Amino acid sequence: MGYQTSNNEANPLQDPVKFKSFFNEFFPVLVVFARRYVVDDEPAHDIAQEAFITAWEKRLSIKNLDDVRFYLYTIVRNKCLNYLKHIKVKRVHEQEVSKENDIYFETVTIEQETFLMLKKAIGTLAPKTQEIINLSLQGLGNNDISEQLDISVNTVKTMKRRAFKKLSQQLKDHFYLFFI
Amino acid sequence: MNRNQNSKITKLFVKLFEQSISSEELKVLNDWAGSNAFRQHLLHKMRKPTAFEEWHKEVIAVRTEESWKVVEKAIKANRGRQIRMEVMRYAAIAIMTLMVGAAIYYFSAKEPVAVQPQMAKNVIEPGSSKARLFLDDGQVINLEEKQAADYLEKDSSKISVASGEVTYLASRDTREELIYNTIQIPRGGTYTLVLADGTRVYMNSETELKYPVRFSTGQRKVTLKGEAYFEVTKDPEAPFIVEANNSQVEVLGTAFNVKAYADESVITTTLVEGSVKFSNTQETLILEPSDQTVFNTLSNKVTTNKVNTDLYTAWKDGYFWFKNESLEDVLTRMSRWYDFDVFYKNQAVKELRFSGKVEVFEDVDILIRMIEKTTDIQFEISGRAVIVQ
Repeated sequence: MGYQTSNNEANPLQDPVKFKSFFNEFFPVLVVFARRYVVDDEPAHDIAQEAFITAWEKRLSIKNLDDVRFYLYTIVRNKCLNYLKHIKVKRVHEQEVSKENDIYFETVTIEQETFLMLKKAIGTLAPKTQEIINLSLQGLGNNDISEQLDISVNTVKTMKRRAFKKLSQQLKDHFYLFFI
Repeated sequence: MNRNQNSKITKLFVKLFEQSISSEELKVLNDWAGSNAFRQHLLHKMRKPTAFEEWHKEVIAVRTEESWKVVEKAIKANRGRQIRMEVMRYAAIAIMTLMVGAAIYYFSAKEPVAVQPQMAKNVIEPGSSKARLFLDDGQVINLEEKQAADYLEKDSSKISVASGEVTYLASRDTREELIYNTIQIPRGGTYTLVLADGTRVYMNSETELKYPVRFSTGQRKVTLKGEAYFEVTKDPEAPFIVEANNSQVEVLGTAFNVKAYADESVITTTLVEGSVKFSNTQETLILEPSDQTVFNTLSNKVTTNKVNTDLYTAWKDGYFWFKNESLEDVLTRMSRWYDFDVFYKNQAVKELRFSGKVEVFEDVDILIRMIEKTTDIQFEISGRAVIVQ
């Protein structure tokens, strides 16, 4: 699934220091993922925590970073489905049942991976450019951005163009090895 | 689910947000969604310009720090439990072995050794990924310092260096002349090498491997000093041969471990799967899975036993795993990883037997204390030396 080329990145589950930074980056994403299943905040946190603990304990069998994330999504999904069965919601919504569907899992995973990737890519831009991109992703037009940041519309346009160019270049690099 | 397709779709969604998506690519997304309700729903969601911002708000609201404390605590508690269990196992085995050991100890100890419980501040740290790569033209690359980088050999084979791993991509050059590289792993290091045929070699500390950057047809031959675990890519046309100390291990496609350190008089070959042929000047043996041959280079004797292969390959997964091994062997293995020297004030303790499994990234103190707890042995650490009292 991934934007990290597989074998180049060490498995964060084998190194305590890397594990923590991987946790900081990926835990929030995993909670959002869990909330696509259990909705409530509290169980979503609990389940994501349990998943990380399980993953740490079984760390040796996973070879690369893409697999680690995919493995965590899978654990969380299973735990969430168990949880939903366990709380025995009186009215079993059609929606609840359909969450067992594999395509649902696929779409929720793609959603997280897309945004995680975008977040990482934006994180590499210069602070001012990041601001512009973030505003743009909030749905603001060039005029609004120019007003809010007190810069000319042309500057906004140029910076946006450069930023998106850089982002798509990164995207190319990330995927290059993956798809050859 | 098809993960390759998923990453393609993920990529297209990112492009959608980066406003660099083409109309053909948009069509790919539409085709992918088809009439599936879930996919349609995602597509719809992603087409909202504010989708990322909304997701990001959710991410920021997550209580990451607080959760880390919970996870960290669970991991530590668990590790504590594991260590306690290991210590008990040590204790059980140490009691039995101590009965043998103690007799030797009793008769050989001339005077009582003063017990010094304090331990000097030590500088001994676990090993890490380190290696030196010698290219054909004599260039030396210090891999420890290197971030990702690529090199070309003179036949234009590509060498990719990334964290802890070197990968070879053979050129299409068809000349039969072979170009050799050598990789050297110092004490306190480990490294992974992927050869041009895809064979994966995990190298332990104090190990050297010489190999062609591109294999010739008909045979794949490498030369080993030290210890390495091989996952050989199958190729019935070209046997894979590991040469070590005048012995040869020949395979077609399999996973096995060879331990052949120059300062040890034995070569140990442990077969995990597949089949290998071990031969030296004296004899030839075919090994089956779980077979281990030990060739003693002094006596020229070969013995074969069935073993639990996990014990002998645990190092590649980050463990020291000992089963009924002498203190001398245990400390020798540890000294390669942590890079320390061992001195024995009393030779008899070398024969005490130990079992246990410990993570290699543990502080050396933890390991040494585990041994202290289960025996009468005291250790003193001074600089890079470990003195066994």
